[in-house]
Parts: sequence; structure tokens; C-alpha cells
Amino acid sequence: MLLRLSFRFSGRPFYILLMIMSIALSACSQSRDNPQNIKTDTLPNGLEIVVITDKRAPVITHMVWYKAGATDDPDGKSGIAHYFEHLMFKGTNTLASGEFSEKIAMMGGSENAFTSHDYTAYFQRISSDRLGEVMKLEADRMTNLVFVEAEALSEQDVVLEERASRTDSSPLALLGEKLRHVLHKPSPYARPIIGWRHEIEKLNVEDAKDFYKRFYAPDNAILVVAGDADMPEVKKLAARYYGAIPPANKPKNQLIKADNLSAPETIYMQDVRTRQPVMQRIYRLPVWNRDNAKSFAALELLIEILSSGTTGRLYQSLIVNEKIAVGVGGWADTMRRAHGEAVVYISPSDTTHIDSNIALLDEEIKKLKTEQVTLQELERAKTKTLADTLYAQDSQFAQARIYGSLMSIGLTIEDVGRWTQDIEAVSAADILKAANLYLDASQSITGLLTPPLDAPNKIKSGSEKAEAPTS
Amino acid sequence: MKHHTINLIVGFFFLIAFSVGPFSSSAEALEIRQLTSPKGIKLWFVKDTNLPIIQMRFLWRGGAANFDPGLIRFLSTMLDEGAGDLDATTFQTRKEDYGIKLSFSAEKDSFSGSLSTLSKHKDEAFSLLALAVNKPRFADTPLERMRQALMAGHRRSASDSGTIASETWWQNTLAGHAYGNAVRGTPEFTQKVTQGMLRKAHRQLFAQDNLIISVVGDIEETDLLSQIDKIFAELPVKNSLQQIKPFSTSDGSFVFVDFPGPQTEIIFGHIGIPFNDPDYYPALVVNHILGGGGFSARLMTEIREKRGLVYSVYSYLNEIGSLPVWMGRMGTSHKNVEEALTVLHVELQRMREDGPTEIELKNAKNYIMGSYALGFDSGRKIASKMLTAQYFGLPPSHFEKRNSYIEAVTLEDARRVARRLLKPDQLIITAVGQKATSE
Repeated sequence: MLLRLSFRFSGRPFYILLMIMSIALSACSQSRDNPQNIKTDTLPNGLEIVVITDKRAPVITHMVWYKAGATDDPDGKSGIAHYFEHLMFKGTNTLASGEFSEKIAMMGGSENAFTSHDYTAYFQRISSDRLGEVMKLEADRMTNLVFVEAEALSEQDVVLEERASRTDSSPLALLGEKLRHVLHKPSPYARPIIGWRHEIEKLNVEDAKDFYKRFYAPDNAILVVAGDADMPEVKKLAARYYGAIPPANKPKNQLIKADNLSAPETIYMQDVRTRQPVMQRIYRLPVWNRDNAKSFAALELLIEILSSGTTGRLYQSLIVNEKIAVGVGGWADTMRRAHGEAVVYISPSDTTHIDSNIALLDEEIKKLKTEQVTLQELERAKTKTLADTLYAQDSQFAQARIYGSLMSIGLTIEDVGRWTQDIEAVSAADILKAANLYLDASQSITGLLTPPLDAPNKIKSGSEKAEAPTS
Repeated sequence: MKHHTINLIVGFFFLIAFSVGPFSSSAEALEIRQLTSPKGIKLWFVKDTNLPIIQMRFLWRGGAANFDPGLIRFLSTMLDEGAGDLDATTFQTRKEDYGIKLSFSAEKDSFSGSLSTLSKHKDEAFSLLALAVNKPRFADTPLERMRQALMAGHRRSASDSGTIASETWWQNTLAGHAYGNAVRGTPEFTQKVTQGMLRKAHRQLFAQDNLIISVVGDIEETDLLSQIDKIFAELPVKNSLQQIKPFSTSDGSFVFVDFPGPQTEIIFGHIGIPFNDPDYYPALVVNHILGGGGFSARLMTEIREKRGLVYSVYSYLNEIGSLPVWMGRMGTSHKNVEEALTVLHVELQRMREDGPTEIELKNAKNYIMGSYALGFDSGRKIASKMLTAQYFGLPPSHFEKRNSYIEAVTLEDARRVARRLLKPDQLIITAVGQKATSE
């Protein structure tokens, strides 16, 4: 309910895509039955190429993924990766501002871009015979972008309106910002992708130029083409348009890990706009690597069993049996450059039931740590997860997004393919182990969003430590 | 069994349309089959064996506006909460055990459903759907559970400025008419809904004569037809919906709702041009140039790109039953509301008086024609396109012909229809936010 940010075409732009990995990740693998439709290659200048062939319609999705996102924002300049993404739609030394979009539209193409903590991606969806033309345009702005002060200033206002619309208008989004600010300190995941308002206000064109020079180059990018295309043509065109751009040969930013919390934290937030209370808990996860991939697969099934659908344990316990909640959900977002997250949320039926909901959530988690899940639960979670991967294959755009996002954080096609096998191989004992390994209360934070409550109520008002830094 | 096949609709057309380019397309052609089941249920079907999945979309004409407001939304939550000999938990468990996706959705003028299944679990999926469609239980315990979920939905709606703006706009535009009511109804009504009311609504709405179906996926035609009969042939032949009264829309107005937050959410619009009107396609082109897709629309250029007043602004043509509307939305800081609305008025007036330029018209037509294929690149999208075509009573050949209607729009048409469509002095506006305070 609260956490779905859908793609909206037809003139409703989106710039930040908060990847909801319970959906995306559960869809992250091509079935082993037809892996031959995915090919990879690399140009001499370092540009990686992924082609996902699907010839049901004569259209393609063309994407360029830069391995740079909000985690690469310099300190004190949060929001620069995202702000810069907006500036990519301005002019180059051969195109006037807005001409890029006009040309795409004239060819019948849709386009947009999105920024996450780990990456920034630009895409066009268009008739497959236009592939060369969109590559030419995308390659042009990889290296020839022009910065005009007045345009950049006006775009800064647009970004501030975007922040107002997506974050400041949503108490739930504000709660998420506060939780992550505490949970991930001092890692860059502690900052929102769009940036803190007071820092966005101070960004300038020089910051944008620096970001461009440092991160926008073929050796820091991945080209993904999905749809009516094959590797030989794609590679030929890519060599023609992207091949001439020199690599930047810049070092990668060092990952900054979060500090361990000394104890579980709770943040209370009251907002006059809120009528329906919400509880959200986030567990911070270790960094993904090939050694823990199998236990992360077990964690994904664990979260499915706990919080997904109407057969999930939380739904059965809190909504069906105890009748103290009206909504539950959760997801595991394990594949990120640094720390992943496991998230669970509950909508209590009213504010008097907040404590009892949390108590029962803790009880359910304790059960997962001490007793094995049933065979039926395990099989159901696997079936649902693998069915979702098949449903996701219906969409060339979803396929392009899944491969682009995972490869931009360093996974290979083989890693993605292995994920399906890992899911199939999970046992009930693996899930018990994963529960003990990853649902570590001391590395979790719980947020409570309620309407303003009367003073004697034990729900406290906003905690200072959750505030964004103010200077 | 009678069925006829119309060949080559999707693929063939696009192969022709896109045959100029650096390399020729090798996309496969999918054919749309118009079928009638042995018991007389009609549907459109595309056989697609690329993936081992089946996607079905179906829709009954008649929705929230034919009933007490809120009743049909309630109904949409109850169909998979126990049916036939399965109680709610057993039904849901079976659904999830097989990875089946089944959902229902209520709109003002329709009630629709969506089923996705792996083809190997099709028998389970279709039998669950048959139970949900024909024998929902409406048992007390799940009914109370859904009531609580719907009450939470009311609370969320009441705290969302976008929802408030939209609902206020509809109420204000169609004062007193059923089309003006929110699909969710009111909390008071949700509290009063009974099993008897849901049963009656189900009986009135679910029939054969107001049903349309589309299916895409990996299934044999004969198998599908017998499944379709099991699901839908037991329904009454004729629906017994209450008719919707004629509506009249209000004159131009501005309604402000005080609501805390950093932005004012604005909905604007007035009566539109219906899909079956000869001026529909010119209107579609005019709207595209004014506030439709992409960054090059006039409202986007003037309000966002040049002035930085909004993150998003757009307009669109819509149709609720027999009511065509043209409407749009934007969100801006309180201090910018006046300027954003002024620019909006200026742009509407300019488009009304001068129409688009020749270049704008050419670009818009190129975009609308060129992007049409993007709506057919997944089974899910094809199923939904086929549902829409049936909803408007079009043949499958519409998909072939549609771009020729766009191509035929002349500058003269666009100018004339801009004048007919846009009425800045009759604009109905709702704004939800806070009055700007002078600093």
C-alpha cells in the first residue's frame, strides 16, 4: 500500500525511482529455460553491453546506466546526483535545451530517467529501427553536455518542487528519511536520494560539472537494450556511437559502511495530516557478496513467509486472528552497493493497538528464529517468487530495469541467473539460520507515524536525533 | 462452435509502419482471434507461447455510479474472500500456493478483474475464478475484515491532498450526480454495508450482456473456450442495473480546500469530447500539444521548464460512462499558485484562439502515431488494449486503422477543435493547500 511508486508514462514524469525490491528482486532472474536471449559484451572503452532479446513487438527499450547515484554525492551536497540527472535533459554543444526530448518525441519515443542511491539511468522506449538514432543522442550527452546558469537555476526550483511533492507532502516519506538517517549513519545511505532541502538549495552549476566529469564516462556505464534487437546489431551501433568516447579512468568511491547501532532505536513522528497510523521497521543488512548470496535468498523467502499476501504470518496473526491491524507488508532489498535492508510495515487498526502490534511482530520474528517454517510455507514462498519472475518477463522494460540495476552494482549475468537456483535450493533450516543472522534487533530501527496524540499518551513527540543536519 | 479469426492485426500493422530504418524488424506477428464459446460468451484472444503464462482481463459495464456510493468498491474486496465450498483462508491459500494473481477493481462506470497464472496451473486458476465470479460467500468474518481495511482506506484518502483535490473536483463538477461521487463512498456508508446489499449488487451487475473479456497467453483455443464457459456461462444473460440519470455539469468555479503541507494540489478541467465523436482524434492531438505526454507540451514548457513552478503538470481526455471530460493536474508551492494558474489560463486561451502551429501538429502526430506500438510490447498491455477496444465497441481492425485517424488530422481540424474543446472561462478548479502568506 504505502510503498509502491509506479512508473507513470503518458506525460507524468518520474525522476526518482525508489526501487521496491520486493517486486523487482523477486523478478530478478531470467528462467534457466531460456537464458539464451540474454547476451553481454564490452567495448574497448569499457562500456558494458547487455542485450535482452524479445521480438514480440517491433520496439526496444534503450537504457544507459551510470554507476553513480546519491551515494556518490559529496558531503554537504546531497541531491547532486539527482539534480544532475535533471540537467542531462538540457542542451549539448550541438543540441539546444529541450531538443533531445523533442527529437525522441518526434520519433514516437517515450523517455525519462531515474536516480537511486547506487545508480542513475536514462532510457528511451521506441520503435526498434530508431535504435541508432537514440544511441547517437544518448552518446552525445554522455560527453557534450552544456551548462547554462539560468537553466540550471530554474531546474533547481523544479527539483525543490519535486521534493515538496514527493517527500514533504508525505508524512510517510518523511518518516522513511528519518529512519534511514539514523540507521545508516555515517554511510551515504543515511541521506535521501533527492537530498536535504537546505542542501539542494545551495547546489550550483560547478557541483554539477564536477559530478559529470567524474562519473559520466563509458567505463562507468552499462548499455542495456531490451526488445526487438540482437547483440551483433547492437554492438555495431554501440561501437559507432559510444565507441569514440574516451574512458575517464577515474577511481571508484570507497564504500563507507554504517556504524553499528548500540541498541534498537525507535522514532516517533506525529503529523496533523496523518489519519491512519503506520509502524515501519527496517533491519540493516550486511553488504551483498557471492558468499552470502545463498543466505540472502533464504532471507527473501523468510520475508515473503512473514509479511506477504494474506497467507503470510503477520496477516494471519494481526489481521485475521487478533484483528488489531488493517494492513501489513514487507520486502528484502539485499542487492545494493553497500548495506541492504529488510523492511516490515504494519497499519494498526488504531493508535491504541500500536504496542500490541509491535509485541506480536516481535513474537513472530522470535518464532522464525527458533522454529522451522512449514514445508507448505516454504513451497508457497518459492512458487510465488518464481511465478513473479515469469510475470516480470512479460515486460521488456522490467527486464531491462532488473538487469541494469543489478549489473550497475557489480553483479554479473551469472549472479542473476544463480539467484533462481539459490531460491529453489533454500531449506527450512536455511530460513531459520537467515532469521538469526539478519533479523538482528540491535541493528534495526522502528518508526511510528501517528496523528497528533494527547499529551498523556505514551507516544512521544518527534525525536531530535532523527532530525536532518541543519547546516 | 463458431469463431472467426482476424489475422495479423498487431504484428503485420507494425511491420508496415516501421519498415524504414537501418535494419529491418524481425518482430513476430501476433494475431487477435475474436471467439465465441460453445455457450455464447464472446472474447478476444491472442495466443502467445513465448512465456508459459496466461493473462486474462475482464470487465462488466456498470460500476460505482449505478449503486449506492461505496458499495461496488466493497464488492471488489469480497469476491476472493471465500467462495463456493472454500472459506476465505482456504481460497487465498490455494491462490497463493499456485502463484496465481487474481484481483478485482471498481470504477465509476465499470467493474473489472484480472487473472494471471502460470499455464501449468491454469485449471486451478480458472476454477478459483469461476468460484469468485459465481459463488462469493460474503461471510461475516471476512466482511468485517474488509470493512476495517476500507475504513483505513478512507482515513488514508482523507490525509492525501491529491485524493482530496480530485474527489472535490468531481463532486463540484457534477453536483448531486452519481458520477460526482467517490468510488470509495463515505465512511458512514461503508459502516452500513451488509451481506444482503453485496449479494444484491453482485446479482445485478454480474451478467453476460455487459461482460467483455480478453485473454493473452499460452493456452489452446479449445481449452480456453471450455474454461470460459465454466467461468462465465452460469451468469444471468441480462444485467439488472439501475440506469444512470442524465447529468449536467456545473459552470466554471474555483474551490479552495484548506490543508496543511508544503504544496497546493490543483485539479482543473471541464467537459470534454467523447471517444465516438468525429472530433475525438483532433482533440487528442490538441491535448497532446497542450498538456499531454513528454517535456515538449506547452504547459510543461511554460510552467515547469521556463518558470520552475512545478515538478509535474499534465492534462488528458477521459470518459466516465457517457460523460467525457478534459482535465489536468499540477502541484506547486503555495506562493506560486496564482502565477501557475495565470499561466494555465494564458496557455488555454492561446491554444483556443490560435490553435497549434504547423510544426507542433506535425511533431505531435509523429509522436502519437510512432508511440502507438509501445502499447503492445507485453501480453499484459495487449490484453488491456483489447479490453478497451471492446469497451468502445471497436473491431480488432481498429488497431490497424487508428494511426490513419491521427494522420488525417489537419491544422484546420486542430484549430477548430481547440476552440470547441477548450473553454478557459468555464474551467472548474479545485485547489487543496494553504493560502500564501505575504512575507
